[in-house]
Amino acid sequence: MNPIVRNRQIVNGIVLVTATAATLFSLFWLVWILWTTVSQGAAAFAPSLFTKMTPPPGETGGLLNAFFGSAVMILLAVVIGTPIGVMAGTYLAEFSRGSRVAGVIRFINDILLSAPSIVIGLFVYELVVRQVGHFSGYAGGLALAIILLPVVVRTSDEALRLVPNQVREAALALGLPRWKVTTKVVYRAGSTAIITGILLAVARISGETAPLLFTALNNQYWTANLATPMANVPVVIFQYAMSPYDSWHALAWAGALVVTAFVLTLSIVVRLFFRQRTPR
Amino acid sequence: MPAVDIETAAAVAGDRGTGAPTLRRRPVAGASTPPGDRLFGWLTASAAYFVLILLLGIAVSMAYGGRLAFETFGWQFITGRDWDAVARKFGAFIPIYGTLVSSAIAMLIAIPTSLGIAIFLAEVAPRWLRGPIGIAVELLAAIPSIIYGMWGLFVFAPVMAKYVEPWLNDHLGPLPILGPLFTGPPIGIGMLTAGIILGIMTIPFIASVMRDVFQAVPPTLRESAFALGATPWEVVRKVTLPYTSSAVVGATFLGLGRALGETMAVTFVLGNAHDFSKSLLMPGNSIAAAIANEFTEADSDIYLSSLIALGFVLFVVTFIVLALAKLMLVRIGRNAGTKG
Amino acid sequence: MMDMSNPAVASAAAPRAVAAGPTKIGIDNLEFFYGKNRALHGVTFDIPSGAITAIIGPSGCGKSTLLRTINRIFELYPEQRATGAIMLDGRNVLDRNYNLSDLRSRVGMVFQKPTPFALSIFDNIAFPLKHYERLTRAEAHERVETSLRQAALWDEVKDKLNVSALSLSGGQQQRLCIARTLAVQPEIVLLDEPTSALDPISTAKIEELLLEQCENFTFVIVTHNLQQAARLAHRTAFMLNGELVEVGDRERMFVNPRDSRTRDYVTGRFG
Ligand SMILES: Nc1ncnc2c1ncn2[C@@H]1O[C@H](COP(=O)(O)OP(=O)(O)OP(=O)(O)O)[C@@H](O)[C@H]1O
Ligand SMILES: [Mg+2]
Repeated sequence: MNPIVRNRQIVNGIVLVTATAATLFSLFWLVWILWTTVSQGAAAFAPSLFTKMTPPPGETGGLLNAFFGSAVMILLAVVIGTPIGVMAGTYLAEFSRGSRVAGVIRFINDILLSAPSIVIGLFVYELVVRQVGHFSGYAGGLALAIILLPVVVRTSDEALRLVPNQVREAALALGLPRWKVTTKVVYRAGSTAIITGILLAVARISGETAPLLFTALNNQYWTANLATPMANVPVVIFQYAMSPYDSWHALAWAGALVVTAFVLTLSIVVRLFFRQRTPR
Repeated sequence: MPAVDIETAAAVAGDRGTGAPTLRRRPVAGASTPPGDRLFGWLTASAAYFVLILLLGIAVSMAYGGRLAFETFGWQFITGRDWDAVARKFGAFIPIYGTLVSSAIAMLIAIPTSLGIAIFLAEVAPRWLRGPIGIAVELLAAIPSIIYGMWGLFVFAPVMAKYVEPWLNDHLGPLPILGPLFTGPPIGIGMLTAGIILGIMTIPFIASVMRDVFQAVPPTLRESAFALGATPWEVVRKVTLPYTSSAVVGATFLGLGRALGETMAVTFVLGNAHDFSKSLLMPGNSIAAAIANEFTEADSDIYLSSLIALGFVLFVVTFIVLALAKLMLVRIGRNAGTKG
Repeated sequence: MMDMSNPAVASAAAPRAVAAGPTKIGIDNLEFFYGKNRALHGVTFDIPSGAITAIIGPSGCGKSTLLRTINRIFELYPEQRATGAIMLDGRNVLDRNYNLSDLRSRVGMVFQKPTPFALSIFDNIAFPLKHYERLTRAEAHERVETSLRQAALWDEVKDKLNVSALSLSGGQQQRLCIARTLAVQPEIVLLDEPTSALDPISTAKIEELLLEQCENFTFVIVTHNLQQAARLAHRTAFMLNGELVEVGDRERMFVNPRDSRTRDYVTGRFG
């Protein structure tokens, strides 16, 4: 073989092998981290996880109050963030054709999407906690809502822009007003993609810790009162993992397993069923 | 095909023309009046502008909360090395330095790896494997960062302490210039460990954007290069990379923006130290970690304000980095930027 | 293309009188712009009521554009605009003050591609209907049935009214769209190549329904199929490059066109 061609082939081979190695390298970490989480979490897993409250050091307990708190705050975030996000996405996709403002809003929204979540926590601290004078579940839910919002804006904007104009024309041609066309027809046509976006946003906020550290804080006890500090899984994991107690470490791993399983299952299922990419 | 009954048609036509359309109904009251549309338009527009206001609000509230620190310390807040809660003297050089260094280490790992993954997905992987590998890489991004932190603290740091850091001590420590970076007690906690974890976390963000960007290259460009006998690597280097260069840089900036602001993954393994050390093996700090660790302990106004001021600095830096990333990604078209 | 002057073809449809009711829509010096691009040049002609008017012409001549100005659906796109006048029962619909919802409730439109909403078959018809009228469940059902019968779809869907409309075949979807349009009882129905994506049987059904219903509505149909225009239309308008070349009844347009360009087109000498 011509030596030049051969050299090119060799260089090509080296690069492609390196590229393959890079992929294996990243998969290696994925497997290692997941394996650790599963094995450690499974070892500490017990039904009492879902029936008992977070214990003092050395005693047995579970994470019931933390699961509950997380669920409530995630729900609150969805309730606050989804309508605003879908509305904003509607404006971008439906009512701002070709306008400059839409470009600016998309740009800013994308930045918000990647903004450090700890800064969001600080913001809500300044806005709510400091004004009210104490940490609360409301503040935690609000912080999560701010993280969820740009994801929903982005996905609903894209979902609605994928709805063909013919659908809008057909509905408008029936004499329906624009708002009805949008809410009854266009939303329907884009509903799968919008729901995908919301589910992915939920997956994203489920593991968020930083924004809850100084908004919801934590609570050793059960509370359904959103006006008080509220236990939540990520912050409990953080505090327990950083503690010197083995029993707390075990609970932290069990919590980590549950959160990871929830988030990954949601991500995979959504991807498989709705075949859409994650925005982040 | 039934023939049209013209007479009837014409007769009816005449009818319709003369008589007023008796079938006309008015829309249900209020249902089609412009106010409904106006209200809806106004509502959606407010929601969209709310996004702008939110970002502005974050910037303003960080600046406002941190004003006491900025007023008290001035530029010393950025350049000062003392972070002393007792003496109420706060200079953020150490956390800022730690943020930059750990992010730099992360980029050293993430950029080449991500490029490798993108090349693998574009040129090596058979079609059926691309989807699963793509999802697997994206799962790395879906794992909550607190899990990275725990894994780092309980699993990875001990490995670093036991195997990696002693080796670095022995082999890189004696080197000139680079040596001081790798000398120090092998405790596993520190800048290097944090940087590596941060790098692993950042890989999926960069890799998935690069993959999308590579896919945006017009197939005809690639095919014509292949037709000339180019090897896959030559196609990447001569066609794909030049075509996507600005977006590839944008992707790395996006990853950098993420790394700079990451909190939980590094908080566990940085060690929350406020002493400056050249060594990457020594505990350090980062802006996000300092805020996470100390915020609830802040017992004075100036302490709290200093932490919020740190948040402001972080916000400004990530804003700039992310804005640059967006600008570079815009050029290659909408699709390439979907990972924003 | 078939030679339309061939007497065999021409006589395929029953002979009919010149059907020209009083003018329903008077189009006067209509110009249309896609941004800076002018797509219609001073189009002027009348559309009679209670009859079928066909618009023919080569691709890109502005047929769809013309239809889309009549119900002002083009206003979805800010860069498009129309000047001139479209008089509907004596009022210019292009007038800013003309109530759009009112206009569109009077002028329905059926598109080339079927556009069922992601709703059930029943709701596809009932939902727009409920915008105009307060109906009880039974009344709504009756109206849905009536319009489905008009569109010759009732027998095929009567057992699955709550199934998603997206599960219907293309031809069924198109008839559903026609039923939906007829249900709100417009006076005029614009049809933009309604059968071009359909099989011959579905096409035949739709043609049949247009002929059956033409006494109740004013139909304006754009078609590339000259036989279809000949079969259906009481009046035919020929357009070329954004201009209206000639308009007349079937005899005049397909047998004895006055303009040589019309003759070229209907005899297939055109591209
Ligand atoms: N959205 C648009 N933007 C710019 N120009 C357009 C647009 N739609 C149509 N045009 C132009 O306007 C002219 C008329 O188009 P129109 O769609 O009315 O043609 P048509 O007669 O319906 O053609 P066809 O038989 O192919 O449907 C064409 O030259 C076309 O290029
Ligand atoms: Mg057309």
